Amino acid sequence: MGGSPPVSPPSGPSGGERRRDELAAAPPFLTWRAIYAIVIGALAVEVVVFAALTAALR
Amino acid sequence: MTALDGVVLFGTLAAIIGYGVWRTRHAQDAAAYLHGGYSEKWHTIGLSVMATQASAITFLSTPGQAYTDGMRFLQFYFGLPLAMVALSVVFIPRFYGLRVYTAYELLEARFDRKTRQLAAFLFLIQRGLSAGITIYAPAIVLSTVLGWPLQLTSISIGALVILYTVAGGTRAVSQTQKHQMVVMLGGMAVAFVVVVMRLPPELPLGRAVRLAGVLGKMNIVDFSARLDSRYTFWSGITGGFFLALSYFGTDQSQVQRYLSGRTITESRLGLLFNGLFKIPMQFLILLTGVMVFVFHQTERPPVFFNQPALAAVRASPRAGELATLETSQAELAVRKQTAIRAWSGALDRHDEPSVARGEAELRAAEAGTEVVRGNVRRLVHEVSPRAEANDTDYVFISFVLGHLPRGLVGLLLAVILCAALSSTASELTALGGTTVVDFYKRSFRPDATDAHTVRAAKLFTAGWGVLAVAFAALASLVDNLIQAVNILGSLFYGTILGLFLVALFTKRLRATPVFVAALLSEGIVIVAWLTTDIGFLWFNVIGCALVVALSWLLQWVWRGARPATSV
Repeated sequence: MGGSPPVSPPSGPSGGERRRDELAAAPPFLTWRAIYAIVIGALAVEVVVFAALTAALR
Repeated sequence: MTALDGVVLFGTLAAIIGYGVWRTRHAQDAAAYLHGGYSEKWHTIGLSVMATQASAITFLSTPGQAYTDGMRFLQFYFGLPLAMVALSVVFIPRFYGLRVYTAYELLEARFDRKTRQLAAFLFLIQRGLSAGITIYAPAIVLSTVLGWPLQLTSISIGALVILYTVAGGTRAVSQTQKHQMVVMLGGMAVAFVVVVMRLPPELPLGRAVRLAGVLGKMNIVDFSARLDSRYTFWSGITGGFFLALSYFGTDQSQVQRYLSGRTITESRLGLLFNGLFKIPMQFLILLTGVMVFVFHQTERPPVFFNQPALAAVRASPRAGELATLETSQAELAVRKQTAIRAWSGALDRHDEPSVARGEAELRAAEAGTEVVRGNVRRLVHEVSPRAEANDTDYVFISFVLGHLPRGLVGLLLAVILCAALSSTASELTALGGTTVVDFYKRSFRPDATDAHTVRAAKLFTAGWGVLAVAFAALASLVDNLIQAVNILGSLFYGTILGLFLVALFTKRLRATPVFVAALLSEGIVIVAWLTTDIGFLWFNVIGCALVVALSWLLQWVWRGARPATSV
């Protein structure tokens, strides 16, 4: 990083190893891909339902 | 406002703020003050992110916007879930990898100090101005309800938020926002139920929605590809995506919310929680506005919702013109009520020709009402050129004050104030934190101790609070508050996002071409906004694309390309 850290980084027992573990951590339920699919799928369903409502109530 | 409303309003606020201050009463080091000690769980982060975005403007302007313009504003949020996924995949790991305190540190890691400080500076300008509008919106409400002077109300709200934000830092903000968000969601759900219950028996919910559709308010999705239309599916999914990516990925008021997570997993889940629930929440708020519109088809609304502005016309020599317009509006209201009863009866009888005739009559009466409202707006503007000629922001609060039962008025006012406090608190902590981390500590006092950093952060946070209150005095010049905030954001976010995208996705671009490209892009966006009719959401895309394209072009022109250090 170009500049020095402005304040001390949070203390922890781990350092770089813990950071790598954190970055690769799995979610507490399902998988990341499944969670992303749920979020994007919910958007798709909402758009379809809203488009149908718009057409039906015109 | 009754005594019961006062108890509900001030009791709710005192309980939430008192709890937040009590939870964060111990002395904090800089990490705890600026990032809450990295202790928050995903549900707190999710609610905090939502509360930061949901300002009082959301609850004042959005139902009013649905009342006048229908549901199409919902499309503005279509890009948000996609942006939450993109942030979880790309931005959050990079922020965690560098252990940054502000988003802008990432730009110095990739480019240089001037690029980092340019992005931080653009953030400070637009967020500092927005904070003023965030305070002004509820100030109008309270000054109307309690009869307080507008400026005194702004100062009181500003002082309250400065008090607990400066005292408790980011942790206090997160802790209060969690409870504020529960009050906001609960209050809006109650408002929706009440307005539906106030509809006459011939208009149950399903039929009320159908009536809203007949009168053009259920225009939720528009697939047309018109650049001059502010809200279409395409502008929402692209411009909205870029705006959400910029706002949640590069605006420190949001970045500090999710970087306060206990782990990267908590941060990601908090953002995805927002991606899942934001659209349903906005749908509820907009539908509440549409139901207020339907309610006023059966009970005559004021000809103009900004009553002080209307009173000024009544006191002017042009009061006669207003009386004529009010008579026309009353006749149209009676015509609509008759048509609704006939239309509803025809629906009961499955008499399709009569249904069609009733719908045509309703549309004609609504078109006439719109003409009258337009003439009233023009009259208000001509009599008081400085008064708000757009009464959108007064629609919902007029309904709350005029038609909600005792106690619930206090609850809805608490919703509006909670929203104002929560979003302003995030803005102030972000403004103070960015000023300290990206400018004060980086350029002026790199050797400052932890205690000195905390003191400086508190001082700058309070300073930005005072400035926000001063900006609030100017906000009355703006017509529609929620659009003003979104337009302001769109003018700056594209450039800031462009800087982050070239930082995250390119390896060969060097700092100076990127820095100059960002300056040029910002200038072009502002000139285009002043001189063209392009819908404001597109400026997020345009600003971002300009930074990327001009960076490559300038580097090629200067022929100084050599591999830069990648992050």
